[in-house]
Amino acid sequence: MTAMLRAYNVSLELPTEVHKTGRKGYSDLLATLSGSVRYQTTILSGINFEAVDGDRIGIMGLNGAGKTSLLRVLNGAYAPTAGVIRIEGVRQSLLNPLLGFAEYASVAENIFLRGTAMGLRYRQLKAIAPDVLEFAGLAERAEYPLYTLSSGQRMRLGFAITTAVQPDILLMDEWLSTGDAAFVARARKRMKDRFEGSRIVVLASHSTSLLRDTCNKALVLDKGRMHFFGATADALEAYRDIVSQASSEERDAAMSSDPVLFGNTQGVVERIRATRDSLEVVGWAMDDRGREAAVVCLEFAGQKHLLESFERVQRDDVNDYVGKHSGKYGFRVSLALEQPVVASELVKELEVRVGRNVSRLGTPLSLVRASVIETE
Amino acid sequence: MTLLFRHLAESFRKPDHWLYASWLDVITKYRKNALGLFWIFFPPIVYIWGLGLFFRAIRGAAPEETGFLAHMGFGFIVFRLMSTVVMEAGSNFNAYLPYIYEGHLRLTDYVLRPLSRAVIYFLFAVPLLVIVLVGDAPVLPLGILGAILGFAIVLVNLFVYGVLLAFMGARFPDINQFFSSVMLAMFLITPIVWYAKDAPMDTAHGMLMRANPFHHLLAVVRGPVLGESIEPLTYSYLGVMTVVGVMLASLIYGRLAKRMSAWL
Repeated sequence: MTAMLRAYNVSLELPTEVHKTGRKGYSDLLATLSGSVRYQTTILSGINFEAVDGDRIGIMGLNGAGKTSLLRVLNGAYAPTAGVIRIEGVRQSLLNPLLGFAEYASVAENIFLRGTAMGLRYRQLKAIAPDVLEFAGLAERAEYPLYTLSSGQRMRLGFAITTAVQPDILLMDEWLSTGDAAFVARARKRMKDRFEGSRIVVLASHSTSLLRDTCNKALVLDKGRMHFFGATADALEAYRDIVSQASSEERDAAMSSDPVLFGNTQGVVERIRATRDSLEVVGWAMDDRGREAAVVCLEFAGQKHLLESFERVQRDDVNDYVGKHSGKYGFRVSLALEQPVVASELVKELEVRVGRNVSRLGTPLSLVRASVIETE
Repeated sequence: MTLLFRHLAESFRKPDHWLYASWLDVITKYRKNALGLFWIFFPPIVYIWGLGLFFRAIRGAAPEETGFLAHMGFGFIVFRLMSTVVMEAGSNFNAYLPYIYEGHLRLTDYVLRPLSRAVIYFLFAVPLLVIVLVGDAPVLPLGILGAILGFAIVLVNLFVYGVLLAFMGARFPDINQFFSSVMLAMFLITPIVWYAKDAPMDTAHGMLMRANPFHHLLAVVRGPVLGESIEPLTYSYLGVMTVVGVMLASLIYGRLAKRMSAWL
């Protein structure tokens, strides 16, 4: 039998309770007494995709884009409001690693509790329980009550039980973040086995590097709508567009958790020179596609200064270092200052970022060699 | 076969989780206590020998009422079984929401787990009941068979009405408030600390008692063992109640099982 997972024009509406307080965002003591109103909210719409044997599908989207809701539709928890989901093969979802645990039951008992909750038989679990304990590194603590375990140990236990079986279709939310380095290495290996053993994997994650490494296709969600479905590389492009249109806070959050999203800019700031009325920054940079910087962004004192016209410098040492025959990778930008800057503060907070265009700036360049500022 | 019975059959084919989990629910509750499992026997002891002796004294202990402790003890543990199931039923689906989100949609499991938990409490109380029966009342051996039959009817009704209440509670959590307030009143209008014969058919309190489903459910379990007479009305009441319950539950389950998760 082959595994198959298809969604035809799926949409999902859920009722949401809204508490009327009279004025938006403002609640006084009397307003707490007012009733709440139920609205139908569209959570997902226009979801169309198909996964066949061997497909690994990544789901991308900002926070609140509907990634988890989509997984819950795929695992059957929510029936689609419209559209059809067709599934062939045994599904297993790993959304909540702590499902079904009981505080006052022992670690060993929790294996049975959690395992039977996943649909395994008591007899099967008797056979695999020692392996699970071994894998989680909790063999000596089998008889301890669960509440004596740290949250890291619980995650390890949950991970070990959930991944003890091999489903046809694996639905996963994020990569499980689990404890110490030794365990993470083991967990990654097992995940990889499960990943390869499953015929279809659907994985929701913020980590584009993870999705790029593991998925052949990806689905991009934007506020619940399917924005794109196709090859991972193209999907990453589409996701980048969404992120760059998002608010700056969201963009920064996405970028700091995921530096690869906008590519690894290479380069360094070598000299900063501040005079009474101008700031000059010298360095070199190359974007993730090996091209010269088109935009340089200087950010300090809470302000962004975007510069598209600046001096490009031919740097033989840089060309040798990055292995290029030609190209002007060096830059010298100067910015007119309205008021003088304080040198010590400038070094602390100056961020220099370069990129292909205004919305695709990379991570800040290193300032190591420029830690001393030149002033007149 | 309707969806309800298909799921119920599956739940019984694979009872591992709800059975094991309900057993652990009961056992682990007492682990943190110094006296451990002793506490599971404590409420029946208080009710049978504490309140039981108190009410017997108040009633003036007429000679024909030698079996009062047995009557009240039996009444208490059966009523406790019914009232816990009814009071918990409304929050059943909410309590197991993480399982539902994980895609486990055999909702009968979430009704059976609290039900089997209540049955486990009941079974723990049975030895105490035996002690009180032997000391206090003549037991009809053949009646035990009848009581087991009656108990089966109680379980069927608790299951089907548990399903109905669970759906209602998922959409309108208000019913939890309702039942937690009303069950104490139910306890008092069920013949537990008094006898059914004290409420004749043609009186207002007699009619109130006969409208109370818990009275009839209790009667078919307790009556046969203690030799208390069961009115014909009880049989027709339970017959209608069971048939209506089964039909409604399977109708509602089929209609709403897939949509219910959106309400929570």
